[in-house]
Amino acid sequence: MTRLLLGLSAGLAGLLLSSTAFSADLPGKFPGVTIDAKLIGGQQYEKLYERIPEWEKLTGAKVNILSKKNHFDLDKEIKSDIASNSITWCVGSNHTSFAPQYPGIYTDLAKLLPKEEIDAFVPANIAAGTLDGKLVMLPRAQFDVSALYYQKSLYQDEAKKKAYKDKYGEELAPPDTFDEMAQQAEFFASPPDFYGTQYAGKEEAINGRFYEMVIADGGEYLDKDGKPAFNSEAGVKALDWFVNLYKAKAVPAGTTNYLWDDLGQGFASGTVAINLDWPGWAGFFNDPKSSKVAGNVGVKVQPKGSSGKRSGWSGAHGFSVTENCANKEAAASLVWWLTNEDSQKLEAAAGPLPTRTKVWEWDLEQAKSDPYKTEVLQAFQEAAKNAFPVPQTPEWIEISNAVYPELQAAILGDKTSKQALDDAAAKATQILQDAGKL
Amino acid sequence: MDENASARLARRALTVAHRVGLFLAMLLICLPGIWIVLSSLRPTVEIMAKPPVWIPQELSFDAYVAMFSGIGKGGIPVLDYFRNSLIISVTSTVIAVAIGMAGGYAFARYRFRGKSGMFLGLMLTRTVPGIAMSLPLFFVYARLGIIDTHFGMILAYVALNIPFTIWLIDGFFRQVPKDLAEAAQIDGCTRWQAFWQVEFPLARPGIASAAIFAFLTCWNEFALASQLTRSVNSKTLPVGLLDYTAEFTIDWRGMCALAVVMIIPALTLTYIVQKHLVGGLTSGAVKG
Amino acid sequence: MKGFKPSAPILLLLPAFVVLAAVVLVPLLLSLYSSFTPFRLTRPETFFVLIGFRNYILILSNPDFWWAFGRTVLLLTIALNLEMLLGLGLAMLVEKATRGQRILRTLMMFPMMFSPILVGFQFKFMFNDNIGLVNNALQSLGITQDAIPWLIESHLAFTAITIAEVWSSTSIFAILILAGLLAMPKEPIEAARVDGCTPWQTFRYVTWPFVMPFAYIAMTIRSLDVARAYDIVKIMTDGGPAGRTELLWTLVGRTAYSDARMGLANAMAYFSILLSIAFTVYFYNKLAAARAQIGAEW
Repeated sequence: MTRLLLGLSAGLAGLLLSSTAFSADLPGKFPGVTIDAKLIGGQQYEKLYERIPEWEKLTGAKVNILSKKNHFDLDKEIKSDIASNSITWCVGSNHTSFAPQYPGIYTDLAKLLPKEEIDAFVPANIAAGTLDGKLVMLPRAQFDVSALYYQKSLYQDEAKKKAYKDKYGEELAPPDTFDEMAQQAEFFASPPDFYGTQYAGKEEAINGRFYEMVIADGGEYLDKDGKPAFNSEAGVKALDWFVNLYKAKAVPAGTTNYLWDDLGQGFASGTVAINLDWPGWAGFFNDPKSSKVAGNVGVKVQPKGSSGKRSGWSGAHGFSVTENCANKEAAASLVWWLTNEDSQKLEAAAGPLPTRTKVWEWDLEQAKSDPYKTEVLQAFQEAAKNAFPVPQTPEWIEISNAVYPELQAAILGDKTSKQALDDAAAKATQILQDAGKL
Repeated sequence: MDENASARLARRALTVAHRVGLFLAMLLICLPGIWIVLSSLRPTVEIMAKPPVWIPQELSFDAYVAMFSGIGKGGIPVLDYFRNSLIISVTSTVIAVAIGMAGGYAFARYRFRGKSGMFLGLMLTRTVPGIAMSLPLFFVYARLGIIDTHFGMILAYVALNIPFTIWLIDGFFRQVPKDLAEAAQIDGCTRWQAFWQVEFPLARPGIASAAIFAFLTCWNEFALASQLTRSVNSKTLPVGLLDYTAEFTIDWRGMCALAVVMIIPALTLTYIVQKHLVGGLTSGAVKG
Repeated sequence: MKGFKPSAPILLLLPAFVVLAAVVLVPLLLSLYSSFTPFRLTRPETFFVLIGFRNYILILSNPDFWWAFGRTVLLLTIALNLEMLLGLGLAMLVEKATRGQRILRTLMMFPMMFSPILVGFQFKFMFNDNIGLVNNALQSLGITQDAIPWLIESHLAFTAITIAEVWSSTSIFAILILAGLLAMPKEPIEAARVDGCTPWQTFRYVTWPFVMPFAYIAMTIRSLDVARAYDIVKIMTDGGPAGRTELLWTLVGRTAYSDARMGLANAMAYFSILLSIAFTVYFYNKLAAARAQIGAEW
């Protein structure tokens, strides 16, 4: 009864007054409740979990961490759980790229949390976590969108500036379009010691990059009806960008086997001029202990494609509450706690990007005395404005797996771009048909 | 005289060639390992440098210190993983060897129908790749509720090791002459006593070599462990290696440091028992 | 009529059968069943739909599958033979050494201490074309000026994987063959020397026949355990680029979990099991023949 009254009054307060009044009632009281959780593991993600004991103290509930794995293994585990009907836990780590695969298992958080709290997030992030009108996850401060890292000294070198001007008739400045980026990459490259740029070459990584390029070149990956549409003119243009860089040896020859870790290590080794990469590396690149380019790193918003749109494939980590959960209020409270302002500040302080508007402001304020961090944050805040998630179809990962070998085949010269994309589209169509989507 | 001298020369040349060959072979074997050890001691900027830094400029134990510090400071629950690995590997080795002894003894000492086929059948259970096993096994385990428990892992590893231990131990018991045990039985021992007092001591080296192989298999296994373990309750060291990877990043230095922590106990154990190991294989595996 | 009394060997083998039935047989039957369903992990209800041999028809008519199959056979053949040759050489070098046997034998087994997943990471970094150890060394020594795309060019990628696999598994051959060399009686070699045989003849006609069964044992053990290579390949190339190094196991792994098409993956897995069985039975028969040759009873 008291809880109901409390809830009612809080609801009223939330409607009438500021949102802080409501937040005061979160996290709530759940004595004796135990919440089973599956959380993403790994150093970057685990500091946040130190805040769990505090939530336990405030609410009287207990959190029982069932598993801690990286996202790919967690994905495997959740699929195994779905398959064996053993979703007996309440809170799970989630990711906007994986979430569409299991739409049914997570509950709508918008019904469990006050609207003010949800409005405090960056709207694009909330949209990315919403599937079929259900808010299935609340994003934590681990938002990922790419921006351009580059070696500053290359752009200050008078001889290079002159040579570039003589060759192309343009001033040498960090690129604003993908065409400029490719041109400069070729200009800077001097294999095998130095490369213009590089890209992730396999799995979802290359497919994601291709996807955002297709959008930036004005195409669509899947059309309105969910049919594969990437074998369009824009698609060919996007894929050619990768192919031509490879042919010109402006990227390392191994690039089609690179994943994110190889890219980061490559740029840090000082052998790559321009690198479109994720915010997680910002600190690593500028730390003399881990990177040769420390002190020489510039960051700029991601380039535009031929349609004038900027690429913006993004993903966000977050937390979800299962439909099977016995005590959804308590679970939602935990999810709120792990994504609230203090939690986001804690995570953002270490470098990752926040997903709450207020924390963005706070973050920029904090970085004032640090010009590099300010540059990073400003670039990524700008980049975040162009962010869009992957197509929200459950078959996304499967399509990715079918498409990427074709992209590689084109890059390595086994097929022409058009041919590769047609083959990929045929495979993707087959997958969607098998799934009963077309 | 001349012939003598040239023969001596030839022998010396052969010795030198042998030494050089041995040295090169060992170098090739150890190089990747040494590289891992070095990587754990050097800052990442040196490991991944270009132009390469061949001579380490600065060595430090930072990665090891970080590993043992708390979560969020670069630490991972390495002690938990170590404990799990140890409990799971040792227990399953002991059980696999016990079952292997029983089975090996049966194959070595008794004649029964379908023996040969049964033996091959046992071996073939080992051919199922871990990746194909992991999900069906998960189904069964989920029903039984033994996911993420020591018991579940031990059970899986026992099954993994039984075929090979039976094989090795079987071969070894064949080496022990039947007459010895029979003589002991005539002297008034029961078959049980004869086994423990006569046959077992003679077969001990073979059992030791089966044990070390089983132990190393458990200690390093990844495919099943990654599916059947979930948290610090049962995660083993090989699965723990992946704690150093995040979605976009990898801490190669930290991973190397953990690898060294994994390798040292296995190496020490091998060093201690290698004599038995080679001796055990000698008469055990093959003659059988 | 007495009650049923199981015989001693059956009793002794019972624990082994129970464990193997629980951990191997039951899951195996489950996966056999699921290979006849369109089972998708994310849609558990599909577990109960039977589609007959559709999955098998699907994979058998898929050229990518056959390529992966052929590549797997090729990799196994090359890797197992190389491992045996190198293992033999290594064992002979170590056996000849007069001092430091203990250290040498331990070092010889060094790669066995490395978890396959670690071997994968290690060789992926070493073969990195830009900042990897191998290219750095080749460039520093002036052997090449180019960044050799180890993990990209199809032959090189295959070579790189083979090297990693051979490095991690030669030890098993070496240790077993060393055991054989040590067990060998010394008299026949002495006799051969007295009779004026060249070292090569001594090896070919005296040592090798004796060591051969050990080599087949190692072969059999290894062919039981080949799928270990999955972890290595998964990390190093994951079958890429453009499917150039796709093996059965990487294909199964991706189809099963990433694509979540477990039914289809299990059909493939059954094929890869058949392959392992074929290799194992082949070497097992060889072993039996070799054993008969050195006069052991079986």
